[in-house]
Amino acid sequence: MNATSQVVRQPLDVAITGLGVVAPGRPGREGFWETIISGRSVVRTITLFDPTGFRSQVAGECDLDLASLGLSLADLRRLDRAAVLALTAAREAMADAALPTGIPRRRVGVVLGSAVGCASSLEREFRLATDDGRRPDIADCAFNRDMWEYVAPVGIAAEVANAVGARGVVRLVSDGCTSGLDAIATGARLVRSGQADVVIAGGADAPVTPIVAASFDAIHATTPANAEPSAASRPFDRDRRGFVLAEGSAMVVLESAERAKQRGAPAYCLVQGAATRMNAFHMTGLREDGAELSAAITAALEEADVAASEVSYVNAHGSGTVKNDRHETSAIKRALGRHAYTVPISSIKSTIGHSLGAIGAIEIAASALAIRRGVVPPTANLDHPDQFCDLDYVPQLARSTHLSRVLSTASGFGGFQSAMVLAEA
Amino acid sequence: MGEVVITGAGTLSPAGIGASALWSALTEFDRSLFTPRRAAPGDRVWDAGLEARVPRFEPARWIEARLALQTDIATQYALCATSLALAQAGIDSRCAQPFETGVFIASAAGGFEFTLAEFGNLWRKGARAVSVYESFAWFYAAHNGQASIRHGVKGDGLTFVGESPAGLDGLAAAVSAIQAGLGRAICGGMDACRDPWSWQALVQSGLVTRRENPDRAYLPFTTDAAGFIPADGGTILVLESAEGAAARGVEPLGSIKGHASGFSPFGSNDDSLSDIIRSALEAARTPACEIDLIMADGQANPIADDAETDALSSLFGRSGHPPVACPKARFGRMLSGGGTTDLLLGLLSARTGVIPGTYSDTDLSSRTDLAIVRRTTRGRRLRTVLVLARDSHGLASALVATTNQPRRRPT
Repeated sequence: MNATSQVVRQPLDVAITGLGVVAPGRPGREGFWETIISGRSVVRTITLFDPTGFRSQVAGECDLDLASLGLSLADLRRLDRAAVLALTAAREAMADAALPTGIPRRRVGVVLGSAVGCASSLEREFRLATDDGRRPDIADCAFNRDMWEYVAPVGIAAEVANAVGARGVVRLVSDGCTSGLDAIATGARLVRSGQADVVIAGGADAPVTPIVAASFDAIHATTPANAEPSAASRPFDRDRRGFVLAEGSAMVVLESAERAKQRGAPAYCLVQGAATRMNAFHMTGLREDGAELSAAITAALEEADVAASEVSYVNAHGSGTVKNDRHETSAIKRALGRHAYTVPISSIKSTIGHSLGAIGAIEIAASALAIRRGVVPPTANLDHPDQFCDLDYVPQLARSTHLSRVLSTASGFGGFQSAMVLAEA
Repeated sequence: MGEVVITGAGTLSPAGIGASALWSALTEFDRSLFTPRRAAPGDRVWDAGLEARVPRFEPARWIEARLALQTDIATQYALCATSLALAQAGIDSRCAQPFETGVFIASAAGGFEFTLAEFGNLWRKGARAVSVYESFAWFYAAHNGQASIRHGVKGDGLTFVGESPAGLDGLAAAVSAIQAGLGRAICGGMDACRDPWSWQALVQSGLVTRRENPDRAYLPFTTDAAGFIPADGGTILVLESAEGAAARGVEPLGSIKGHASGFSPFGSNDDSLSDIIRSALEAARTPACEIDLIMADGQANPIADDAETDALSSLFGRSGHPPVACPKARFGRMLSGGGTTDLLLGLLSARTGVIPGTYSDTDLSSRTDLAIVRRTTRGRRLRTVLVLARDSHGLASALVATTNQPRRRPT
């Protein structure tokens, strides 16, 4: 068996009938779309904590209107910021899908992706219990009774399930920065296999915290270009210096294409194929040949029954690190062959940053909106392409074109390489 | 769908390293494995109670020094158990055909102990003092990433986060991937809960008993139920197609028949838990009357235990209760690895006819009508096992597995 023959060769045919997005920039799904097609970055100097002393001091932050969320003060105190983001996106997605009443709750599932779970709450509790680390031990502290929820963050998915009334399969996927894409793939397979009629799937992360920022500082993964935040993230550009940390969430409502058609729900697109491959190489490093991401792309295309030449847009991981951009460019060339040189490819991370476990889902939302509107979002800040990145990365300006098949790719620490194929409904 | 079998297992538990250590402790002795909690210096708040740690684990015996440096203890456990499972399955440590193998190891708390130390470095010494390994050692996906690198695994990868159900859900995802063409999968769950924060977080959640008598501490399905004792460890399994195992001449430990999962919050007062079990039986094409042994979840929380009792009674009451075992009451409740450990123990029971007892004290009276196996019983004819796993939120998984192979001793 080779790298690409291990897939079911029948398309998944799962429809996305609802979308909810919370991302840096303008609020909501429509605001998100306006932000990513503007070609202007909304990255800013970090406000969620004092970044003085950190190597990277810029981030993509969400301006949440907490009062409008309908959450009690007790809930807002209890819930991690990632959970608030997820609930907000899930609420918008459910309203958008306008599901009929009467779906058995046991047939409704939730699959959420998150890379760092409740990092912000864990750090807050550590700081409270140790007086910002000044105490040598935590012997006499009063522990938050929700602390276990933060240590083992599957509770975020349970919160979403409770909010939408789901009693079916509930899962939290954590595959590093492919979590969001992998969660939607998992949800689509639950629908396809008949384990659920409807799945609310997506990703959420709130990693703009000192511990996460410091951990990426330590390996120089994030950019030190702090002087001009809006120019800090530069995927595929020769002057890029690393990715920009961000937060956000996107949730989609998944149901079978047949079911969506029967109830007259306009689908954004169909999830046709998905695959993940491990790179067995390094927890943070990438091989320049992109062989494993290429294998994931090929497997996803095979499952979707889509030829490489049929791909009309690639929504790239495009994190803005030298390693990723070259690895991904190689992977796209390996998987798409000559078509790689003509298909438009773009990264929205230069506009909104890299929200770890959420971004894969946010990029699926971007791809779904791109299909519906026939517009390719641009790669902001791409002024001088890296000589090793010689494909069409749609610099600066959005491009109108008919999109019938979209490929979205993701790459994560731990060696996770994922791809998903979406098709117009 | 093709039959998927288990060909290898690696367990770390409070009995030690390897499935045989746990099996021997449970079947040859009628006592619990809990020990008084060892308090770290200054840990005055949590110096009482019992704990269930993996004893005598020496990372240097199992993993390379550079790997020990960049991993949390939970990932070290997972790598040790993965090596054991691959060895039992007769699979080379380095995969000859890397895209044929996938990793689906679940985790509840990731590398939290590692991160606690880095919290300290950050807030006591500053951002530049944080380890270069922090960015991935904490990850819930660290077990899968490190196992992939160490064994050259390039196939599918998926990490579910959560307590016992997550391990079984990962196993089910692995089964689906194998049925779709993947050659084999490494799955299961592994956690450590040794650090004072995880421990105290569990205590504060109200889930953990503070009793100090090891034989009367963790008492699921009894009127004395007052919480569980969290345990280190878990079980990693190697799955492959029955045809693949036969072609390699490997004797399976058991076969996965069916699985289902869902959300049944405590106090929901509906039939969602019984629905999940019924769905697993349907997926397995196995009527309730063919279940020979139930490996219960047994949280020792009266509300959770009552819901589990009601669900099982509603499904099995009419066909006569099969024996219900909950041996974790003697070694502790593992987190993400609890479900796969129960599965392994259930299959070993089916293969040997021995069911490990649930309690070491037989004076306890069950308040349920379940046929709880109180003391270890032998000579039972068993074949098909139902494993039930729930978590503290109400997520639940049920899995049916069977064995019809000749008996063999665990390794």
